[in-house]
Amino acid sequence: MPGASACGDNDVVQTANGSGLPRLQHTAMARYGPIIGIGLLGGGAVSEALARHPAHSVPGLILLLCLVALATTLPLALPNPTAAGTAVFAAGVMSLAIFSTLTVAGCVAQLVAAYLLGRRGQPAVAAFVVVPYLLIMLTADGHSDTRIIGALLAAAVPAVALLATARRMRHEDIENRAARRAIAGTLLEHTARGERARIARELHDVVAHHISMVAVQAETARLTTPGMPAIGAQRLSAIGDTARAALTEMRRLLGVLREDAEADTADRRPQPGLAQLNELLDEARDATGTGTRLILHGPPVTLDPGVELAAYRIVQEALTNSRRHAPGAAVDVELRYTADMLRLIVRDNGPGPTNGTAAFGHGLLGMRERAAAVGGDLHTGPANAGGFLVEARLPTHTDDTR
Amino acid sequence: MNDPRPTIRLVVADDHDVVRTGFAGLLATQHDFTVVGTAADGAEAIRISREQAPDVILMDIRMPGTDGIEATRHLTRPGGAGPRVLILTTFDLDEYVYDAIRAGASGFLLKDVTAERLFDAVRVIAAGDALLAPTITRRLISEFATMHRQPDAPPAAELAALTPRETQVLRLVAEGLSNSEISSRLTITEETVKTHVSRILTKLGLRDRTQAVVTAYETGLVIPRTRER
Repeated sequence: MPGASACGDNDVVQTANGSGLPRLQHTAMARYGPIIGIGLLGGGAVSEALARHPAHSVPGLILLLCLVALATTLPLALPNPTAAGTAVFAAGVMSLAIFSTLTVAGCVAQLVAAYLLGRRGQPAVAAFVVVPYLLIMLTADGHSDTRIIGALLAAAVPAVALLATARRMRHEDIENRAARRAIAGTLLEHTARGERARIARELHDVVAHHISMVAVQAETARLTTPGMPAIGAQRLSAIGDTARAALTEMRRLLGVLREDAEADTADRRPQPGLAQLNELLDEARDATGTGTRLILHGPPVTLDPGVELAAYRIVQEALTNSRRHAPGAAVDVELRYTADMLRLIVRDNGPGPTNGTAAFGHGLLGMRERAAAVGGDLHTGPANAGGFLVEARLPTHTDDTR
Repeated sequence: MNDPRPTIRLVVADDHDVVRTGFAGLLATQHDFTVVGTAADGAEAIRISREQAPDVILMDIRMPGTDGIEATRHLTRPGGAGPRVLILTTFDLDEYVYDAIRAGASGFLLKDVTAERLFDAVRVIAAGDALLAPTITRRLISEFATMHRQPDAPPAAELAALTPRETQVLRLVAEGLSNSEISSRLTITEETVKTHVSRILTKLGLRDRTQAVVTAYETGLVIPRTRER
């Protein structure tokens, strides 16, 4: 397929185990770098072997040493890290045990193998290798080289392997956290949408009710106004027809809205407003047995049904939150009516906001959406004397002069 | 009943004043209607109904305290000679309609209806006829009756009291046929059909034709057809 990413073909070096390390670039360096490196190691091992054992030794021995030198390095090229590691370790142990020699390149190869195994998440093989190296170290004669090399490798090989494993786990951890954050973000967005759908449904209900009233009033005026002239009756009829047409569309819209919001069964209660607050507080008192007070400032005014509904729902949600996060705490619900604003304050004397819940609780999300939907705002946080505070400011004047 | 049309006594129950006074005003313009009371919630509707014995109650569903469907259930207990209930609402949600009919309502009307249709509806209900358009009734009831049906209800135990002819008529009523259609189908006079229908209602303790349709589906007498569309 043209245009499909062919990452499988070009990635030579990345092992297929998703260790989480960054993929190498698709460059020639990536393709050939490791091969070249291993080749250099091999070459270095051989030349060191040759340098160490000059010509007077048995030629067959030289050849054997060269082969061993290669055996301690080249298997790194094997695609399977376990195979590569096992081969390199075996060769290394053999080289040290039998020939009492291990080239520098060979040592490096041991460490590289250990790293590869650790990166793959299998440090165990590297750890086992401690045993033979320790044995070698303990049983070698006083010849300092072998003991030192044995000791160094016995320590370094597992250390490097575990280091690689630790790096790999750290990368996985970082990835996991990022994934969790992404999921949490999506969930939040999803919840916010659900809240908005609920709000839309309730406001739709309020609007439909208003339009319904227009129709009733038009019919009432048409037929019960004494001395209504025919032209007036016609006009009122037209008003009624317009309202009916609007309601037809509203009914269609309802189907759409009900799909999105969680399926509540059809409500048989009227949409609540602040007049129902007392009922709500009574329920809260019954549910928790604690003191719940309603405090009123300023002359109460009946607001638009949409605003009243938002206010009711905000108080309802705030009370639910208090019950959940501060069971047994006393709650104050305060309504402050001013000339152009209703300030709603719900305050408890519980433990107050704990880390992380203050901004992100789903109930708080819904409350914020409700306030915003009627042109107000909402904030939450610690109350002055300890406890949790929810404050909403809802405008009571609609600006009709836009 | 050969007298001039007797006045139909009406009560309007709605929690909104605009609707109460509006509908009461509209109904009062008709000579054959008398509004004997209004109510702002279900409990008041029940009380006024007991005091005034109206023929028809216009009942809103969404009212505080006792809602309209609860009140309907109270007022239309089987065997009782209570008023007929005409449900008024803003949305004709399927659940509302079915719950209302099951609770014993005789009809269902949208609040934004024209005055003429309102008057028509009241007269139809008062006369004991079914109000819903037959196709809507059928569709709605068949949808819900299958859902609500008790799985092991004996198919026609209640219907044993009906004669074969009456069962036949009931089946046709459930399919949404009007009296005249039934009379042509069975080649009997319309008067005979009406007699059969009222006997069916009496024997099964049903208030009206709509309830008869519900019973036919719920007892399995009529198996709902799959939707045509």
